[in-house]
Amino acid sequence: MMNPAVIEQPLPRRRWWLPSVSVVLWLVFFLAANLSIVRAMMIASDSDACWHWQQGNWMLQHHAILRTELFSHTREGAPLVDLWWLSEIVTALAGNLLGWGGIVLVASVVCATLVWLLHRQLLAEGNELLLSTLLTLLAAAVCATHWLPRPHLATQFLVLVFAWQLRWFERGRTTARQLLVLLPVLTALWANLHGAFVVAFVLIGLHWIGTAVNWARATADQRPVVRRRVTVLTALGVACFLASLVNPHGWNLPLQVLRYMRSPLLMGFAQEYLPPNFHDPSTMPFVILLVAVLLMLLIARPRLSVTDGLLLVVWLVLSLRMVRNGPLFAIVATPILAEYWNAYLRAAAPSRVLRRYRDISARLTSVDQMAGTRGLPALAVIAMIAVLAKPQLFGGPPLVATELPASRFPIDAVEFLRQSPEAVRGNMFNEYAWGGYFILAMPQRKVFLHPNLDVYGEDVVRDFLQVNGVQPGWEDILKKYHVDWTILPREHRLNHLLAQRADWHLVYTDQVATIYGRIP
Amino acid sequence: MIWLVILLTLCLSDWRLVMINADGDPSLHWRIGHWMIEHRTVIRVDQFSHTRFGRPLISKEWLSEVIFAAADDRLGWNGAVLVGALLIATTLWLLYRWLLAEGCEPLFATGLVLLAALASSHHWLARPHLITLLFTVVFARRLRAFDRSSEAGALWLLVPLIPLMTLWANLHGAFFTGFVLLGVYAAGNLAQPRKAVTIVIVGAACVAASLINPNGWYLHGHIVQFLREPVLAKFTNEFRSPNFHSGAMNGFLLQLLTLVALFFVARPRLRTTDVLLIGVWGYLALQTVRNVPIFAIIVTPILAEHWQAVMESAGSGRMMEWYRKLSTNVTRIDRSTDGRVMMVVVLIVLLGVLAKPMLFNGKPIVVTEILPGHFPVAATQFVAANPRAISGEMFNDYGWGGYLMLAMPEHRVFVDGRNDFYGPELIQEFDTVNRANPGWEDVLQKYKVGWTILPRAHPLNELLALRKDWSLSYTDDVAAIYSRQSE
Repeated sequence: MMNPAVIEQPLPRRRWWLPSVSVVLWLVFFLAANLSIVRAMMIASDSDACWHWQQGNWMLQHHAILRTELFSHTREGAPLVDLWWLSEIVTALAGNLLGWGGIVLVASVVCATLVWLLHRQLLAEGNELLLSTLLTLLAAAVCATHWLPRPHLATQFLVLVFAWQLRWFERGRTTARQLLVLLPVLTALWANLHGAFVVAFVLIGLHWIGTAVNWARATADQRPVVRRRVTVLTALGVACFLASLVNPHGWNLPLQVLRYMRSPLLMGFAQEYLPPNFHDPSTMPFVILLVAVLLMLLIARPRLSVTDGLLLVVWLVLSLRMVRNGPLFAIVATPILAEYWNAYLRAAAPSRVLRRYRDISARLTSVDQMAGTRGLPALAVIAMIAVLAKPQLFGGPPLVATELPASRFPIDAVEFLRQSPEAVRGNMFNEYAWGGYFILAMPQRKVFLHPNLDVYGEDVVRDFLQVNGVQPGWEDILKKYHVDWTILPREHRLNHLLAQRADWHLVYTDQVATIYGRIP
Repeated sequence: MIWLVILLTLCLSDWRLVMINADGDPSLHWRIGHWMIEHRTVIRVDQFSHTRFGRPLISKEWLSEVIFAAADDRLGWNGAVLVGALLIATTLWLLYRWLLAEGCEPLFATGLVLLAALASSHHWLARPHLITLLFTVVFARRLRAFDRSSEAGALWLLVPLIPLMTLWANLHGAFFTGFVLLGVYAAGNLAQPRKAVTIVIVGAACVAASLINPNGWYLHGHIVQFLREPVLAKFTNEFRSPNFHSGAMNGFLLQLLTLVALFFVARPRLRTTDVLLIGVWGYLALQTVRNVPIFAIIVTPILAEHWQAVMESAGSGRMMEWYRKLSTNVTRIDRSTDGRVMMVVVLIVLLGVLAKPMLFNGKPIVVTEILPGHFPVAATQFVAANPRAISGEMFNDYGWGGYLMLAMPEHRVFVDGRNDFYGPELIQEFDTVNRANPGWEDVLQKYKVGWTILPRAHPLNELLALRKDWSLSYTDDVAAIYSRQSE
């Protein structure tokens, strides 16, 4: 729906140098991610990116998909369903070319494009520019809590595309043919990029239920149209399911995802699968989003479609169950919020605040209509590649250095092991959060556990927890896996225990990590 | 009926064991209350820990502790369960009566009260916090009535809150809930300044009334300091955000969904106070799981009001006809009965059953004891039988502190559930030892700890087992005791 007031006014002359608000948003997020402290935060929050880089590297080197576990001694040679193989190759390509800066660059392009696309969607749906910008920023703030250079960014991006296309199909703005061509192709891509492609079926399922309810409630003359939509969504679900099987692991891929989701131990292990902690200030954007939804329901009192109601409720529940679903809730809820807040603000009686809001919005819109530049994002990416590639192109130190911080990762300890390879022998017991880093930094030494819990199953994870928690029987487990050395945070309780043991000795220690070795 | 079902279920089913075994706090309150009864004075300095022995103590719930201890001294653990069950049943009964008074049908009111019960049941433990739930119902009902009344002559609705606040401040530290409710209603009535001013005046009187307690305004300062201390709040499970992976949160989730469904289906035009109540208490419940029962109470009348309107205006489908018929029958039965006599009779019989060993000797009919699988019951018996096996001060598991205070009053604990009293410094020291972080030995030496009593699988046990200056004194499936070797 276009705003008639906007159509009737003559469009102002375009300025070739002026970017639109959407492009400004893109640039702000892209530049902030690449040039500020954000880039260090993105790679330092966990070691998953390291492990994805190394797996991608292996696939590039061997020109093959990874099908067995290679990096841990506890499950070495076990069959592996790599849920992220395509993302890992992209990560490895970027990392090999431009180092960590390259990986951040790819992630930032995805994040900035997500913000840009959401903003464009809201505008295309006829929402006012100021409201669209504020809601996009709110959604971005929620998503940003999980903006790490890892394959899950593909899921955030594709959720946006799916939610958008399904929403427009329901409103008759996307044709059945467009839907049936685009989404199955994207599902095939998604299934190869990230294991959370099952989210596509949640979205299609919710739209199917909503449309089916509409069909049951439709009048006789509406029924054929709504019935056709149900048929199209059914066909879409089947087509997307078949498309998701187009991956190197066939239908072992969806089975692996389901197996993982059905294990409470594995689901409870990773921080991002836990419910949000509302004491943590990082959840504040999510709280503000909840308040915005609540106020929309209470003040605007919209007559929501069944589909919109289902989308809000189901994604709200999922985001309360798992913190990683918060961004997906934001992406799905924002267009709904925008639609009804926009309608409310347009219909509301003009108060002083509302007049001020409309004034700012109108001025911003008139500036936005003058925007004539298009190629700034492409230019920014090229410039950033040149900045990152400066050492390769012109030699000398990098202009923008992006490295793992030595205060969070055992970089000096790994350097020690590199220089003194004989200092330790046998298998390693390692800190879980460092597993990915070790895979990248010393691939020749196999870890006990790394963050790809899929490959381990509950037994190995339980064994790990028993040793990590210094529970009775920890020694038996170390013997079972022939562990002869440990590399753990300096203050880890197992270190204090090993310090008391006559059959273990201190090999190395610094402010971050400590290595203990078994005395032969 | 609701009162009877809840009371009997809690007192006679296995739930009574959950009420006293979920943590060590029921033991702690019994012990402290018992001390106050014994000494006929309010406790003002710590008697039960060696780490803070003799330090000034602000007991936030001294009166509840006396009540629980009086019941426990007479009926054993059945006493604590009975007091707890009475509080829970009365809270839900009051909530039910409130809904009926606002015109809700009995059948529908029953469903909503059971939903509120489901949402709050995860915190049904025999502890003083149950009193806060009871007072929340009373405060919220009166404030809601005032909010909906015409301005003139409604002050009498709020006046009883002032003496009640004195009582609340002596019964439980969460009497601040009353101030939050008053604040929300004052803010919600800003468009009607006279009402808002009335609420503010009553609020000020409530603040003054809350100062009538053994600790005066130090009580308020202590509570504010506790709430502002992240280390202490983080240390207690019930101050964490709700874990929606846990089945215990299904009731809360269901209530949230009922609320959201109301917004979708009925699109009610809510009063400002209701919006604020939902927003403020919804946020507080998401932040801190112990606020979930308060949210459940606050939101139930709002749900009742608007869902009832939806039901009344709904069309006449087959399901609705069936529901209306059933509801009419339930309403007729509810109006034709007076359960008050039944309530008294059941309470007397229940008291007789629980007090049977005291009244008629012989074995108890209902046995309620601390579970030896949850608490170190056998280990404390070992210590009692072998007092020489240990010497010096104790280092104990945090969750067992209350139980050890009660079971071995002759030994002082290192720490117990009163982390507001211990303060962040000691809690950090406890954490250092508990996690076997560097400096753990220094902390043990500082407090002259001569023995530890910890869960069998505790990592410190593994560490002490390797030390020549410590030896294993006792172990079973639940606990292990290590003692420092005398030099």
